[in-house]
Amino acid sequence: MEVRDLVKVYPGGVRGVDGLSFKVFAGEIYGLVGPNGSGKTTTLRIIATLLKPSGGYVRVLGLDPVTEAVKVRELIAYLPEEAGAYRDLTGLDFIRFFLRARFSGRKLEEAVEEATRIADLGPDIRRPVRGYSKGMKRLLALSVVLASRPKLFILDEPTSGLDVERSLRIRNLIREYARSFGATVLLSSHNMLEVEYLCDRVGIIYRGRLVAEGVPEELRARYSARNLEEVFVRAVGG
Amino acid sequence: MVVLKSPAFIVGILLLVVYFGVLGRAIGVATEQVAREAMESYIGVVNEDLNHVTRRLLLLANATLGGRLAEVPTVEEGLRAFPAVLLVPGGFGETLLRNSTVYVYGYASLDSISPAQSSRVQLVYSVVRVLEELGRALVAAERGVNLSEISRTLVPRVEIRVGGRVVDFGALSSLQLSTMMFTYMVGLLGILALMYSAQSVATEKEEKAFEMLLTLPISRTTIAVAKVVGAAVLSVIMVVAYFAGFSFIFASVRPPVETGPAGAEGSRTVVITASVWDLLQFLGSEGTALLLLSLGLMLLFSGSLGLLIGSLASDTRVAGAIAGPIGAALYISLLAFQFVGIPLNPLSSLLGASVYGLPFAIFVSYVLGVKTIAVQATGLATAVTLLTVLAVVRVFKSERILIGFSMRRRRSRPTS
Repeated sequence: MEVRDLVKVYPGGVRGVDGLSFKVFAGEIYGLVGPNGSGKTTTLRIIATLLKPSGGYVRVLGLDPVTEAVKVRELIAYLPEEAGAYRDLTGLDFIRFFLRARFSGRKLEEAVEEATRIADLGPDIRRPVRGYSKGMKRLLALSVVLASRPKLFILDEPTSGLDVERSLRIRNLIREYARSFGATVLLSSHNMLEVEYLCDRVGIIYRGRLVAEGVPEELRARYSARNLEEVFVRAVGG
Repeated sequence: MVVLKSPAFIVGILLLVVYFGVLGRAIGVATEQVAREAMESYIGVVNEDLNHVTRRLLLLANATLGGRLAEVPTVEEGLRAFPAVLLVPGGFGETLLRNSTVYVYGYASLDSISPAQSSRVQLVYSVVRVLEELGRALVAAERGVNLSEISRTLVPRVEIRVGGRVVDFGALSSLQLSTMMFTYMVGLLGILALMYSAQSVATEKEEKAFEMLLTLPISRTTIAVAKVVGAAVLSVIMVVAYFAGFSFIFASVRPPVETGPAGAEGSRTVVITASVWDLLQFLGSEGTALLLLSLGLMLLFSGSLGLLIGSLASDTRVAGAIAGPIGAALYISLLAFQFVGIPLNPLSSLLGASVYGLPFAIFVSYVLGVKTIAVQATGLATAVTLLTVLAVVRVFKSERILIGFSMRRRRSRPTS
C-alpha cells in the first residue's frame, strides 16, 4: 500500500492532510501515531474509500481507491474510530448482517461463528445492541472486521473504549490474524504503548505530514528516546 | 431547548412559513375565483311550460337572483354557455297550482371533481329552493289561501356531467369521498416513505454504523436502492394497516343524504360510499396501470428525497427537522390541489407532478376524459423523480454523505 504526497482539503479550506507519504508492506503491521487533528483518521478514511483525496497518489494493493472503490472494499475491512451497531439488532444479527456482504452459505456460517468467538460476549450476543456498553459495541464491530479476513485491515484506534483486559486480548488477536493469515494491518492510535507492542513500523504524523518513520527500536535510538512518546515530542520539535 | 437551537429546525420553520404563505395565497385566490364564479354565474333556463304561473315564477326568480337566469333553447346549448341549466317541464305550473309534487330538472357541468367545483351543483339546488319558496307564495296568492296551507312540493332531479360522464349527486359525492380517502392514503404513503428513508441513513450515522456499511464491498447505488425499496415496503405495510383500520371504522358508517324535501313524494335517499373499486372502474385497465405507475413513481420520489435529506443530515434530529416540514408541505399541497381542483392543464399537471398529486391528476383526467393531461403529468413526474434519483446517487457517491452539509462555517480543524 502506498501513499505519496497525499493532500486532503475539506470544504471550507481546512487541510486535513498536507503532503503525506508512506508505504505499508505486505504482511506488516504499520501504526500511524499523532495528536488529535494530525490527519490520521482522514488518511485512513481515504484509504478505506470513504473520502476522496484532493491531491497525491494512493494505491491500495495496487488499486486506486477512487476509481476502483468496490474492488478495494473487497480487499479491506475498516474499523472506524467510533464504530457502533444498530440498536435494534441483536449482536448476532449485526454480525450476520455485515458478514453477509462478504460471505454466503457455509462460509458465512463459519465467519459468523468466528466473529461470535472473537466478540466473546456470551449470552449477550443474542440481546439487542441497545443494551450494550461502549466496550461491547467496540468488540462487536471489531469481531466483524477480523472475521471478514481481508487482505488489509484498516483499524482506527482499535482498542479505544476497551478495558485493559479486553485491549490486551484485541492486540493479541490483531497480531494473530496478521501473522496467521498474512494480512497487512494499518492502524492508528493515541496509545504509544499499544503501537510499540503491536507495530512492525511506525509513522509519526503531525499537522498532516509524516515527521518520522521507522521500526520502534530504530526510532527510539535515532531520537535518543526511552519510548515513542519521547520520540514524538522530539520529532515535532517539542 | 436543544432542538430549538438547531439551524435545521429554524430553517425548516422558516421554509414552512414562506411555503404556506405562498400556498395560502394561491389557494385563497383559487377558492375566491370558484366562489365568485358560483355567486355570479348565469344559469340557463329551458322553459317547456307555457303556463302563466310558470312564466311569472321565472320572472320573479330572475329578479330575486339579480337577473342571473338566462333563457336558453335546449339543455345542451345552455351547458355550452353556462355552468348549470334548469329545465322546467311542460305542465309544471298546472301541477304546482294543484299543490302536488312537481319535478324540476337541473343540469350541472363540472370540469373537476373537487369540493370547490361542487358549488355549481349547490347552485342548482339553491335556485330550486328559490323557485320553491316563490312558487308557494305565488300559488297561495293565486288560490287566495294562507302560505302555510301550501306544502313544499318541488323535487329537484339533478344530473351532473363530469367530463363525458353523467352522474347523480350520490355518485358524485361517493366519487369525491373515495378520491379523498384514496388521496389521503397516497399522501400518507409518500410521507412515510420520505420519513423512513431519511431516518434510515440518519439513524445509521447516529448509531455509528454508517462508515462500516459504506466500506462493505457493495456499490453505493445498491445501498441507496436497498434503502429506497426498504422504505417503500415499510410504508406500504403501514398504509395497509391504516387502511384496514379505516375500513373497520367506516364499514358501518354510510350516512344517507336526502335530495328532496323530507317526506315529499319522489324524494330520494342516496348513499355515499368510499370504494377503491369504484375508482378503478372509472379508470379502466389503462388508467389503473398508469395509477399504479404513479404510485411507484411517488414511492421512488419520496424515498429518494428522504435519502437525500438523510444523507446530508448529520443525525436523526436534523433529518427529522428537515424531512418533517417538507413532508407536511407536500401533503398539504396535495390536499389543497385536491380541494381547489385546479382545472387540469400542463401547468397544473406540473404541480401534480411535484406535490404528490400525480395519482389525483391521473384520476381526474381519466374521469374528465382528458387523458393527454395524465400522460403529460406522468412524464413530468417521471422527470422530477429521475432528477431526484440522480441527485441521490451523486450524493451517495460523494463524500458529502459522510461529512454532511454544514449550515455553519467550519471553524476548527476536523477530527484527525
